[in-house]
Amino acid sequence: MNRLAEWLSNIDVRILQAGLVIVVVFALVNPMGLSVPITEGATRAYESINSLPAGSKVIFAVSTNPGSAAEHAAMGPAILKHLVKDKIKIAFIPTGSQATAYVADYVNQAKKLGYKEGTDFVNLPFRAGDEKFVASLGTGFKSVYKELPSSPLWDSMVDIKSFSMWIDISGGQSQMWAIAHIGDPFKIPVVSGVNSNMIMNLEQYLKSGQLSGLLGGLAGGAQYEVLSGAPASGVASMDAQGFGYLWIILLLILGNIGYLTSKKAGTAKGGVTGD
Amino acid sequence: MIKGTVSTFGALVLFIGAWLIFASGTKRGKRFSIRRVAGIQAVDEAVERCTEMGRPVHFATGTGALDSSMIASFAIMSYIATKCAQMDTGLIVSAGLPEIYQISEGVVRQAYVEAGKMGSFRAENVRYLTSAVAAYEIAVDGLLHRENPGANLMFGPFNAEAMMIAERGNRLGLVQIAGTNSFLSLARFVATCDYVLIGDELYSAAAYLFRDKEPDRVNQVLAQDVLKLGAFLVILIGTILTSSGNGIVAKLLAK
Amino acid sequence: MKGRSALAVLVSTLTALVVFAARFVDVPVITVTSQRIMEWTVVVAAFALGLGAVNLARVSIKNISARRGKSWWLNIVTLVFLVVPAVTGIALGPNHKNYLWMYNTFYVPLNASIVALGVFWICSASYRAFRLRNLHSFLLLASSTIVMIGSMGLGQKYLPYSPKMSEWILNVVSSAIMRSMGIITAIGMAGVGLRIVVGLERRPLAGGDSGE
Repeated sequence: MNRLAEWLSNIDVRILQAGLVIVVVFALVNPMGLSVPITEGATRAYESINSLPAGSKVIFAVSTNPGSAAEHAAMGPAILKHLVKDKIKIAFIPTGSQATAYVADYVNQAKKLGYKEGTDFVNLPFRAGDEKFVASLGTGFKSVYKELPSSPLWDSMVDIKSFSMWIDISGGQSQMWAIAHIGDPFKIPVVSGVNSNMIMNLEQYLKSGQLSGLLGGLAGGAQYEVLSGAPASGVASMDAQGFGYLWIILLLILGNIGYLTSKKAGTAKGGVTGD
Repeated sequence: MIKGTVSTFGALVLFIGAWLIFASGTKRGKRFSIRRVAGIQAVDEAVERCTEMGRPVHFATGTGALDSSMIASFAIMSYIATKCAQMDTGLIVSAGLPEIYQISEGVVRQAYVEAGKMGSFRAENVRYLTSAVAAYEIAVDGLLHRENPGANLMFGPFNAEAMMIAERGNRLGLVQIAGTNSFLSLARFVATCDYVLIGDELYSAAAYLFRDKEPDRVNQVLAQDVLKLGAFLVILIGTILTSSGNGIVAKLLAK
Repeated sequence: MKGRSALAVLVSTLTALVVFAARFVDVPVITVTSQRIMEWTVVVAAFALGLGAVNLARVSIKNISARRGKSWWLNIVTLVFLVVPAVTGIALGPNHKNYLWMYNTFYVPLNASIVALGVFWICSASYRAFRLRNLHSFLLLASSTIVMIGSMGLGQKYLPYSPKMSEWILNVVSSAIMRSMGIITAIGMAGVGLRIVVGLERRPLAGGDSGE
């Protein structure tokens, strides 16, 4: 019994990780179609975007990088499809140096959904400067893009107040810059899609109203797909994510059973130190 | 003044006022005490352990920006470099930003000069790895395997690389001490490190280490405590007043 | 203070004061100067990147010439991937198809793969760390379990209150802690910033000169 308890409290790392792979692959291959819990942030994001009248203009700011691409893979297309469905005009802006390729993807998706460049969307080029660049969009929007050719939609985008919303898909801090330089001073709603580990940091801005919506990671994308009635890759991945959580919870239970049993026998190891 | 900055300016005045009061006390010979943070005692033990094992100390700075936590970490780096120089223990510094690398090399070099061990200083032991998070964590992973340090010290602004580096260090059985004010990394460090300096403790640790040489650091920490007390009172009074329908505190803060 | 140190401290104090003042007062000269200073930081960072690359090359070349360690040849790979994309990007431009091919073929998949490995580290770290040692550990274990259960469909199906409990932990408990930590960290930042403005923090400026 002691040996079993010790084994349970010190399971080989390779078994832990192999088990995770097996469980996730199983769920991907055999989807159960489980429901997706909807958070307040996702609901507010959907309602904010849904309330935009047809013909409104929004900024779709992207700061995705290769590390966060998987987390944004569901939310970006889901929001884009919603915007196209409601005939919202879009200005795509890469706010991160590595986001240009991802913006190009969104542009292609918009074209496939029937949108035309110059009348339904504009694709603005990347400008270095991070927070300074975002701030300059607030104070001098057109002056940042002096060389862009004229088009009906671009000509109607006079300054930052021409826009009804700032939608920010980011793996970094661009949503904070948007709150500070666009949302707060010009009272333009900011909807943010971030990596899942950034949610905790941003909940306070949702509560205070500085963010009008908050989507976190693949789960956030799945929630938006459910709310907008267009389930896609996000929803399909949720079963696998759920099973992954189950595996970790099982390991926590087994590890603690082994730990507590070993503790009684006086051979326990592990835990967060400094307690 | 720009709208919305009056309250910030008021807080700044309070902070500077408190600092000046404590500084005048220090000038008159008064010595303010500061409690020892557990993680800093562990730093001494970690360096001694490395000396006994004949293995170097590894210091990682993360890939975050050069912010105030990194400035405080430079003080800790200087302390560790001085100890390593005195004990003839190797020190390897892995920088994740080129500007942090530049400063780190200067800090470590100066520490060796002050310890009288300039001959032992190796510039190649202070390295700029890469600024990309994934590449940095893999580079440090490889470094931990190849260089075989006895302790893994992580101080500074860390991003997602914290998890892999700390977990790898844990698996290799290294003594691990971390300090950061990055929320994302704190949870990862708490789960994997032996000691963690959380947020403000990083600044307090720098003040503790240099309390005799740089007493103004202790004055800074004390002034910070005064400002924290002020913030607490504003929050408490504001919550009570706002809950009872009086929005004066919110209006004052928005001025 | 030596001459070079004094100059570094003077420059940092003046620039910090200007940027500081621009935050509080709306004087055109100060605002414009502050913006120029911020632009200069981008230039300085670019030069620092070059120096960092030189250091990386220097260490790699040293390891290659000394045949240091079993995997010394990996330093050759490092040098190739340092030099080739840099030369290609400078010569052909970052939007050229050759440069983009290198970026999309090597950097993007490698980066995404390493980030994806994070889940394995989290799995093994949480298995090892979340043990019922005392009340703190119990709270850590319980809150993380509730948040995980509340985030998945199975949790919603079999434990209908779990999503609400999970949101409460995130929105109330976690949010409150984040806010307080944010305030404390910001105050710490203010302290360090002021030390730089008044010239007390000289260690990073003068290459380690202590604050005397």
